Amino acid sequence: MEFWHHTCSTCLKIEPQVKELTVKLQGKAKVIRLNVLESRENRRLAIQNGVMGTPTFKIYCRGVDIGEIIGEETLNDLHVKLAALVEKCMV
Amino acid sequence: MKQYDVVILGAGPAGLTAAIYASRAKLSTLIISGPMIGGQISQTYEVGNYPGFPEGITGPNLATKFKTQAEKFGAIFIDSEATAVDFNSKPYTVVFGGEKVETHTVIVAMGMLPKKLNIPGEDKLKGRGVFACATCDAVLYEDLNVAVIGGGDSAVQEALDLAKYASEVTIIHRRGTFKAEKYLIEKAKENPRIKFVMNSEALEIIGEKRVEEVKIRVNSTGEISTLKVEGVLIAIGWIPNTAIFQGQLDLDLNNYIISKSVFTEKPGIFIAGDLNDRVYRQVVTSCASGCIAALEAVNYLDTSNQEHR
Repeated sequence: MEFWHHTCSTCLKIEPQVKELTVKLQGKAKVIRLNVLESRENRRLAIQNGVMGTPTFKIYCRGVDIGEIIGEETLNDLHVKLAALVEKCMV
Repeated sequence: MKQYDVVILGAGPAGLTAAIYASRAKLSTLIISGPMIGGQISQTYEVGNYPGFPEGITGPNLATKFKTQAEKFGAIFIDSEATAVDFNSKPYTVVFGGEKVETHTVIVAMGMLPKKLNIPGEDKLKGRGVFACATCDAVLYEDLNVAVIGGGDSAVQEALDLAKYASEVTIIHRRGTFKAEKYLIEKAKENPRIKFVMNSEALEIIGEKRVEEVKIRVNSTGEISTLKVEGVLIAIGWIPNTAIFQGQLDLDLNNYIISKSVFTEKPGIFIAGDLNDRVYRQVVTSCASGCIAALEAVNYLDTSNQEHR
């Protein structure tokens, strides 16, 4: 789950990469994007999940929090880190 | 190697305006955008004083409009950062992302970088409670306690923005008085959620996975205490983003490029934006200096006897 918002410049910058990743991970993982400015509910959900900056990616395996990626990452880093976490969940 | 009439370094209001003017003047124009299109305004929620937008406009939106306008005239954007330059022989060269290009003129508009505290915990907890932009992330500190470090306009403004959400905001300032504008200080003093810890310095940001507390020393007595917070916003000012110009351009003791108006000591190398303005630093003044730099680049190319033209 990517916690983001529309005035976070890093989030906007990596948006195409996240969309590309969504396609790449199809069948293995579901990518959900949650705009923390959209509603109070979203904001509270982010805070409850310990999100303190945008973008933050939280990775859940069958509902359990197994890792996070915070801040700007290159597409490659994001891929590598996410792939490792997706692997971890498959085991 | 690709060759351009002008390479613009930085895509804040100055670089983007320079790109509009240079490309409209039919110069082959490459803009190496740096970390963010829009520069500092990419982190500004509302730009309320840029002429032509009476209803206000978000920083990222304004930056996108500038970029679209430059692209319309043919400017080429590269989403990368310049890592080295050679201004000691012509044509000048610029290196970015493993590529190298030649250019007859350069407009340096790389702006400023946020100053770091350089204390333990600052890097480790970045994005985990340590942040630099209330406009971006204030909502995530709803009902939490946050420390703001700094005493200038941006520190007090960030504290006011944070106080809309946070339950308590503590401004930690190493001096006994503020540099910030009086009306901002008055607003902060009137806000019951904002507290002040004066004459004190942050020594360490403590936390395992997230910020838990900040260690503070009172300068006069040396007394050390900790403040329990979930967030630490650092707003201690800015430094010129000029590291790659060491040995290429004359820098002063504060690492500003020595210049007269938009001219550096090297022919064909111009500067614009915050690097060229220590006083006003508005979007509109940055745009103006970007425009002047581009017009001077056009003028330079017109009057020089370069064979390619």
